[in-house]
Amino acid sequence: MSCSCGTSSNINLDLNNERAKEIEEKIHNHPCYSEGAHQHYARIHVAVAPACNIQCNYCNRKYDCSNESRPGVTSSKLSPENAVKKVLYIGGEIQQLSVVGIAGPGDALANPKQTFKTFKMLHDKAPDLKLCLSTNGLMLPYYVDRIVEYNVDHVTVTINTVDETGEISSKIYPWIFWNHKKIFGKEAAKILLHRQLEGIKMLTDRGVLVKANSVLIPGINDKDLPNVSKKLKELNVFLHNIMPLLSKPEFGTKFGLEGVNSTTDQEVMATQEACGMDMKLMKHCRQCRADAVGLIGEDRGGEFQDADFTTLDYPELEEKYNIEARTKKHAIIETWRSSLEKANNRIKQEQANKAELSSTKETKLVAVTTGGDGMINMHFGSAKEFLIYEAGDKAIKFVMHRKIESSYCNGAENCDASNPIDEIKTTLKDCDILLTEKIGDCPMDELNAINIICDDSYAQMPIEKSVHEAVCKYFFQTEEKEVG
Amino acid sequence: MAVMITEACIACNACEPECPVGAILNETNERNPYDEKYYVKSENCVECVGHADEPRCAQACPTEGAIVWDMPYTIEFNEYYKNGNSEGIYKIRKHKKKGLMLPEIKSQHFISAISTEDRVAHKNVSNFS
Repeated sequence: MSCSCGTSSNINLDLNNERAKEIEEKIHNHPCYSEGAHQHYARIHVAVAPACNIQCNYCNRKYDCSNESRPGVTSSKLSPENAVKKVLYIGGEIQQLSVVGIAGPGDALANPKQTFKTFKMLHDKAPDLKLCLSTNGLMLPYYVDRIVEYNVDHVTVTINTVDETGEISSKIYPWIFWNHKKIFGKEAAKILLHRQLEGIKMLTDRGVLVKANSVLIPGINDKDLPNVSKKLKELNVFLHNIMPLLSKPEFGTKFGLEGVNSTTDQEVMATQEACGMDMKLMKHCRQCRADAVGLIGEDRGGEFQDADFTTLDYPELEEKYNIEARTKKHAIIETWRSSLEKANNRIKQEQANKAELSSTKETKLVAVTTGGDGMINMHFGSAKEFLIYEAGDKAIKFVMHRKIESSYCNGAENCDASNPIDEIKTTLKDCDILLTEKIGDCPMDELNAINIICDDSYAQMPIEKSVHEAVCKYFFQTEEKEVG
Repeated sequence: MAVMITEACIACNACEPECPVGAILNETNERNPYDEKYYVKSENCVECVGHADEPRCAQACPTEGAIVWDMPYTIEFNEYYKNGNSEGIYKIRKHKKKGLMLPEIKSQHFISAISTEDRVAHKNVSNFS
């Protein structure tokens, strides 16, 4: 085929754009794969996969610990039938539900019977839901065909290192279960890596969207994650999610018991910077439980008891699910998203460097409290997490969310002598502005004292537009500044 | 039974498909005397003699301390299993003609290299490091 240089680069651009469009359509309402979707759509994880074929030093799979929110934790395991019933019931209660994922509590592909039976039934009874699966990759090559056959179009693979010597890996994984035996050390590490890479390639070759999760463990794999990103790019993985290690002795994990510290926000941001050159990054992961329910950032699992849905039969559940009503609701959500997009005027960019964000190359960090729907619609006192944006006069960029153990106000009945403001001050210490629906004088004074401007004048307004306006107002005016 | 599943079991189902003689029952099975954990049928377990170098269930089990050694299912330990059955620790099969299938009726293979001390102490069957 003869073509000039110009034409072939146009073809490449067209192909890239087409591929990008195809991907965008697939992820448009998936709250994990699309940052834009995460404030509007909900997901549910069903804990049908209790067995696991590897051991990670950051994991301890327990039941009945409802205070802990991290992968591997669940209140109880579900049979495939009850999982489907739960999805139908909750899909009716929470109409913004768009995705059902099998993420644990063990490994989805270490329990193939339960996993694929659940997907088959869901495909049949809830055809409007996206099916999603999470795995360590050890059994991935074996099940790629089934994954494609069941129309699972989103797969997440957890891959923490690409070090072929097994040096790094053996510090993270004490053993794998392979060919009916436990295998230890570097030998185990090499098998795992080989299977992960093989499985990922098979998936991307077949057009399945792959997200890669990496747990950042400073001192162990922090220097290797940029290599992981490069490798992922080669394999056409479309999103890389770098997650902080959650580590406390009370988790009972090996790292927790050994006193390895949780990764800090700043360490995450630094690694994201190093990896963002090669891969598109996911930055809004909430590291949720294997039985999580709802908008990510709020787990409504506790609202629903098994008896709510296990006693109902399928005709009743299908009525409850009400696929027509859900379709209407999703259409309304999409209309809202378009208006929001217009209001926000494309001010947010996904991967922008400081020069693209700010004409002075200096950017500011803005923290926002929200209850969803893309608006500043949560009181400071009720917030259990903050969304953090990096902003300049030209554009803004979503950086991460930061959770706090205790919201500032827990209600009069829970009022004790403790002051949650200290944790909040530490969490927001590098931020310049806080935008919220309402904030009292006391906490505002505390935050002002550490140079955080608090502004509640953007209450009930779109987040992105407000972040941009606020940062311009306070830091990019040539005339007199207003002090908040 | 020659191996035993303890309270540490999280009912994850990793072991049951690995057993070459189908000796493992899940928590919903009526022949399992326990509600919340899996159970190895003492009268069927052969410690994987003739099937593998070591018990396959323990290789698959992700929870340290969940699968441990028990006494061999042999005549020497007949009283042990008889008493355990009365106490509800085991739920040994009652054959229509032969009666309670204690070791004196039918004994099973065991791994002689495992010492009585280790069995009495209910040591872990497999290593985790």
